[in-house]
Amino acid sequence: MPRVGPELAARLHQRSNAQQWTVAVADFAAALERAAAKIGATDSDALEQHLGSLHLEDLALACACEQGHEGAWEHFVLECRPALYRAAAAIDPSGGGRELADSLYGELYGLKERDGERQSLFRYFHGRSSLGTWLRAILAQRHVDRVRTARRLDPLPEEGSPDAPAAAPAEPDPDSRRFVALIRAALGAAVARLDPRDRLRLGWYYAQEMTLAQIGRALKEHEATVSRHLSRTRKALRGDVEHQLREAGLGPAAIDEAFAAVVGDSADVDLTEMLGPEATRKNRPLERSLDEEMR
Amino acid sequence: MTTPDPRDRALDGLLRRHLPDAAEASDVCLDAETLAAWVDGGLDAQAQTRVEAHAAGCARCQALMAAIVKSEPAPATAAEPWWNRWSLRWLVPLTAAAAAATLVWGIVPDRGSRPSPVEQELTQARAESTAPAAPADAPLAPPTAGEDKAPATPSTQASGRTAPAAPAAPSPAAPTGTGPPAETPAAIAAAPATPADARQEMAKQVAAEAPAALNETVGGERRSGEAAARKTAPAAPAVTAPAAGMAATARETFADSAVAPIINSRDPFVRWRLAGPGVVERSTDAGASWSRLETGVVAGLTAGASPSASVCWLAGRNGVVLLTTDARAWRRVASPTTEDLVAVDATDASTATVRAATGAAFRTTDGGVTWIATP
Repeated sequence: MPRVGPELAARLHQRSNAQQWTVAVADFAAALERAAAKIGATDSDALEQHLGSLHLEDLALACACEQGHEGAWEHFVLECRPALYRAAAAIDPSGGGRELADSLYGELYGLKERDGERQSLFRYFHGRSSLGTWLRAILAQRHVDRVRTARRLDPLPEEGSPDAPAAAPAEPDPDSRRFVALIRAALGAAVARLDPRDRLRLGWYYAQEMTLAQIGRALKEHEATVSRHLSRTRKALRGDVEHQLREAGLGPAAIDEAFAAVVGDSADVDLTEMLGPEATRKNRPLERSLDEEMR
Repeated sequence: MTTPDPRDRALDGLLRRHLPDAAEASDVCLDAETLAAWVDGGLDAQAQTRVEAHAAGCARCQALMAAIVKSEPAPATAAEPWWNRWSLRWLVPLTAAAAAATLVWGIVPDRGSRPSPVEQELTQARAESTAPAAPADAPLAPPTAGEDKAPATPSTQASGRTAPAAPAAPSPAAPTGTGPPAETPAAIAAAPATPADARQEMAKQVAAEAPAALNETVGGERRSGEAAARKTAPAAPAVTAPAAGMAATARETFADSAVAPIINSRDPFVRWRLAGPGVVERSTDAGASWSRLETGVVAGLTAGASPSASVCWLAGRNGVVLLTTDARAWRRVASPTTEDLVAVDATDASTATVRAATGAAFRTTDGGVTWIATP
C-alpha cells in the first residue's frame, strides 16, 4: 500500500518544479515512495514533514535524468559535471578520481540493465541530501573501496628487497615487551569506553589525518571546540591508561618506564582495531550499501 | 611545537601509528545516500546518532566521511577589502601616528610658524580619517582597530548592518598561516601559556558558542572562523541572533558594501553574488568564473539564499523578493511588505523567510504566493 497519498504527491510534485522536466506525478510519487521507505517514518504527519524537507528539485531532476529526459541531462551536465570533476580531483589528486567520475556518468545514465530495463544510479538518490553531495559521497565510496581493495591485493615485499621489513632486532628487554603489551591493552580498553563522537574525532584526526577545521565541518562544531574535545579525550585516555596500569600493580616509576617503552617500540598499533570491530558488530545491520542495492 | 609531557608524547605516538584499514564487511556499512544525507543534515537526530555510532567503530565509513568532507570546497570568502590587505596594513598605525603628531603639534604653543592652508586641510583630513564610530548607515570607510572592540549598536543590530572592522593585529604568539594554532596533536596538548594565547583561546570559546555566526557576513566582509576567533569581542552573534532558528545553510546580507558578498548554494560549487541593482552573478566552479544574470528588476538587492544549485531567492529594497528555479529566469514574487528587506533564508523553491529592516519576518511555503508573519 502506498504511503505517499496522491494529494501529497501532487503538492510535492508542484513544489519540486518537476513539470519543467515533464516528470509525471506518478513517477515522482514513486520516487517519493522510495524516499519514504528510506526514511522509515510511520506517522503520516512525520512522513509529510520529512518528505517536505527533501531536496525536491534535485529529486525531480534525478527522476527526469533517470527517465532520460534530454533537457534534464543537459541541465545536470551543465550544473554538476564541473563540480563532480573538482570533487574527484580533491578525493584523488593523483588523477584516478577523474576516471572514477567518468565511469560514474555511465552508471548515472544507466548503461547497466536488469531484466531488460535500464538501471540508472539516479534511482538511489532520495533527496535527503543535495545532488552534489550525493555525487561526492558516491565518488568517495568508489575511491575508498578501490584503495582498500588495492591494499588487500598488494603483494608483500620479497625478502631482501628494499621494501622488505628489516631483520628483527636483538631480543628486546622482556620488561619492555611486557610494558608495551600492557599499555596497548589498556589503551584499547580505554578507547572502547569512549563516547562514539569522541572515537569519531579521534579516528578522523589520527587515522584519517583530517584537520580540526574539517572535523568541525563534519560535526557542525567550531574547530576550537573540536580541539578542546580532542584534548579532553586524550586526557581521559591517558588517565584511564594510567589507572589501569596502577591497577595492574605498576608504581609511578614503572608507569614511566612503560610509557618510555612505548616510545621506543616500533610495532604498529592498529587504531582501527581499537576503534572498531566491536562497535561495528553491535550496530549490525544498519544500512545496505549502494553497491548491494545495485546488484 | 613538541608535546611537553613524555607520557602524552608516548600516547600520541601510539594513537598515530596505526595499520591500514582492517577489512570489514561492506554489507553493514553506511551507503552513500545515507552518508550524503548525514553531511547535508538530512537525517533526524536518531538516525544521525546511529550513523555516528556506526562510523565511530568503522574504519571504512570514517574514511568515506573523511573523503566527502575533504572534497568539499572551502567556504567562500569575499574579496578582501583593499584597506585590509597585508601590504597596506602598515598604513593604519602610520596614519594614527601622523594624526597624533599633528594634534600634538597643533596644541603646543610657540611652535614658530602656522601651517599653510594646504597643511591645515591635510591635518583635518587625517584626523577625520582616523576618527572612530562612523554612523551605522554611513558608507563604509576604512575602519580603525578601535572598532574591533566596540559592540554592535542597537541600530546596527536592528538593521543587520555594521561597519566592517579591521582584524586585530595578530599577537606575536599567534600563527600566521592558515591552520589553527592547535592543529597538531602536540599543540592540542599544550595549554595556552601566554596572555595572548589565553585571550585567543577565550575568543575562540566565545566564538564556539555560536559557530553558525562565524560564517556570517558582517558589513559585507565574510569572516572565517579563525578571523572571527582572533577578534576580542565578536559582534556577529548579536547581529545574527534573530536568524538563529532559520533552517537554510546559505545566507548572506548585503549592506551597500563595495564588496559583493557571496551567496553559497548547498551545492558547494555553485555560488551567487549580488553585482549591482538588479544584477546577479553566478558561478558553477566555486567562484573561479562568473556569469552575469539580469533579474529584470531595477532594485537594490540586499540578501540572498540558495537552497540548491539552480534555486536562489533574493531580497532587496522596498520589499523586493525575486526567485529563480532554473538559474536563468527570475520571477518577482508577491511581497509581504514594502519595507527594505535585509535577510532571506530558504529551504527550497517553495519555502523561504524574509526579514525586514524593521525586524519583521515573513514566511512562505508556497513559493511566495502567500506569506505569514513570523515572530
